[in-house]
Amino acid sequence: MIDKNNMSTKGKTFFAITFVLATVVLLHFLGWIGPVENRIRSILQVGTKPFYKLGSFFSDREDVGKSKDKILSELEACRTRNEEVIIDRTSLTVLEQENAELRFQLNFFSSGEYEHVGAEVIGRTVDPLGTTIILDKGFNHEIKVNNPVIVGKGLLIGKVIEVFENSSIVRLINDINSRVGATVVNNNSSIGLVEGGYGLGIHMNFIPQNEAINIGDAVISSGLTEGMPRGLVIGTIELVEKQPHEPFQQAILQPQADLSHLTLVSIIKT
Amino acid sequence: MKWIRNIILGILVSIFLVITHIGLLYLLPYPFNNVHLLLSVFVIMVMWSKSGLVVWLSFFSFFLLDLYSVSSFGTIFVSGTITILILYWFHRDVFTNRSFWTFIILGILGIILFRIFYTISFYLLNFLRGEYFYVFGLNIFFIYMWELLFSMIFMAILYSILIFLQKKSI
Repeated sequence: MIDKNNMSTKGKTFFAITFVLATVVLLHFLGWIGPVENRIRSILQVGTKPFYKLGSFFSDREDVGKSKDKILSELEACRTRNEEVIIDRTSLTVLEQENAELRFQLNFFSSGEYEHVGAEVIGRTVDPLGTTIILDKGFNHEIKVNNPVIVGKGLLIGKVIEVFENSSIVRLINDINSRVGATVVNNNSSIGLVEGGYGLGIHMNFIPQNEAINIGDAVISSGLTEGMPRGLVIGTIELVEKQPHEPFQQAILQPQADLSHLTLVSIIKT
Repeated sequence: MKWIRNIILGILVSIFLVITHIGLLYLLPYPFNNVHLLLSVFVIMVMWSKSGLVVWLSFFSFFLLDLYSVSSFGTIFVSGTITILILYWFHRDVFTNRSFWTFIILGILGIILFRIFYTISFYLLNFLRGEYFYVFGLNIFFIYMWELLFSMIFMAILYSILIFLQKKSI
């Protein structure tokens, strides 16, 4: 009899808690507790922001313990890369001049500038499943879902997936659920889909088998993804994986932006 | 007036726990940042708590944590609250003491149950929202294993401190 009563009490408690949980979830999806959630989020951010800054500070100092040989080899690699960049920049300047001239001749309007908002990274989300960051700008700053997020002069790092009053969540390009239409800067302008993988790396899939892609080729956004303009730099090809029996080849990419040390970013308003 | 004081105290404790949980996540390097501080603290609380208030405290704390998640809203706080409720009953009716083995069983059970409920709620809520994610792979399994290991270590430290303090007070 005691056990029966005990079970009955447990059943009632379980029902009551399930009811409360379901009600809160429902109220959330109806948006009725949105203002309360935004207020709570603002309060929590006051406490979590210093931790994120401190974490970034420590992770920026990972280079301190490197050996002399490693630093020298990295310096040599940087010098080589720098020479390549100077050569690239020269040819780019020539191409830009030619492009400007052609656009002028075609009476083509091109601003070359995106309307953007600067934002500070104030944290990461807590899921083990995603690689996402939280920014201090939200719909009060006209941020919308699918707005691309960049660092530097157009290095794509991800896109906005959720917007709150004064904050937003950005899914980084190395997140498992990230998909960005991309183009390889080669003779074929090969298109494909850049996908992430548990924050461990990014790869480009669905590149037609018959098109030649090479290690070191730059990969940019193709403009075929919703809200994503063409020409944002994603990374460079590090490895090409090609199977003769498959219709597509895939490439492993080295992201151009350092996705683990993000502090200031720009959100492009599209 | 006492209940108002308890509610305010509960809210402050929850905010403190959630901020500390997120802080550890940011500060600790991988794989140490897989420690689930919030769940670990509640598992220990279940062993020392004499009332079901711990379940409501976990409800509010996991609700706060859910605001820092990109999964469908409810995934964390539904799974967290149900896990703590089951652990509370389990401790009240089955393993009713505070022995080391009770702690080990509750700790492992808590983390496993949480991840089972998390996976169920994840797919269920995504299904209800009409979204599909294919994220559960071997990598996630390793992350969960790290979580189990480091959370158990963290819980063991907490448990030892509490036992030590308890013995000292006698």
